[in-house]
Amino acid sequence: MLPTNDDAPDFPQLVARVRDARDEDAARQLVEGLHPLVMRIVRAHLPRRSSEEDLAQEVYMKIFARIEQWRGDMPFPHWVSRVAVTTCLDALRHQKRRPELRWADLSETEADILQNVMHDNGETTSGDAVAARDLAHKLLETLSPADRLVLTMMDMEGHSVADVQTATGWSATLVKVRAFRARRKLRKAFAQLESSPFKI
Amino acid sequence: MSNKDQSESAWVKLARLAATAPREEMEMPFGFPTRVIAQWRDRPREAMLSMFEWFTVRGLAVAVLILAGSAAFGYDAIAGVINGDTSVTGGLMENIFNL
Repeated sequence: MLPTNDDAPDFPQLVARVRDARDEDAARQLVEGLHPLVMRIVRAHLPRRSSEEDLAQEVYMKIFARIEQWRGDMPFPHWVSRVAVTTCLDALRHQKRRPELRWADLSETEADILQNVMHDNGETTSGDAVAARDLAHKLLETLSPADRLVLTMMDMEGHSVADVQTATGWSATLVKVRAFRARRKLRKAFAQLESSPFKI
Repeated sequence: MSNKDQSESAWVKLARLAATAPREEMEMPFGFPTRVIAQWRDRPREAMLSMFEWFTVRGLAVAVLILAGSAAFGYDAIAGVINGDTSVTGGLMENIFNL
């Protein structure tokens, strides 16, 4: 499920103040209250060589510019998630896709982890998790922005099809088809790596 | 295990391992809310822009409808001008040149 927090600020009241009176204090409270949610989404879907702060700022600009469109039919953080996800998707679309991943693109640790997960040998330590995350992001960068987004949410963050639907506005069928196709493309990427002549 | 299964399970294992990576700090950069608020204050309201866009699109649609309607009702006249059966005199350009 998308996160909800009982200690969260009174979003409807803050939104009303921002919308009706352009209250800067309310806007500041919104920025502070939404920061963990916005940053989590921005970090998960950040294009290569992009500044997370710049992208987060863009997300806030869109939230404030469209705040009148929030009618209270869904929780405000869910609406914000959707704005953040679509902003990240637009940013990913502007980024040139990595054509393919080669062994030469991997660090030594990443190459070891890849060998381990592909051949089910060797123990992985908790320190490998960060390298695994970087490696997973490199593999995801070979996919289209929409495919990348679906697999990041479902496989990396453990979200359900319904969560992806809420965040993107896509139908359940579209989410499932995208996930299926994206995993198939990843299989090809793994197979290409496996047959690479420059294997370490 | 086939190559297909091997690659699929490799991705599942990689994603599972990646999910255990420690979460990075979510601390807000110094002055970030101030920069966001300042940028928001300097931007025009999107509602005004969307209203302008709404009128522009509908204005264009009305113009197209009028053009199509006048072409349909004045088809004979237009066809006559194109065929050379009707001569155009006293047109707008002619009046301008006679000024």
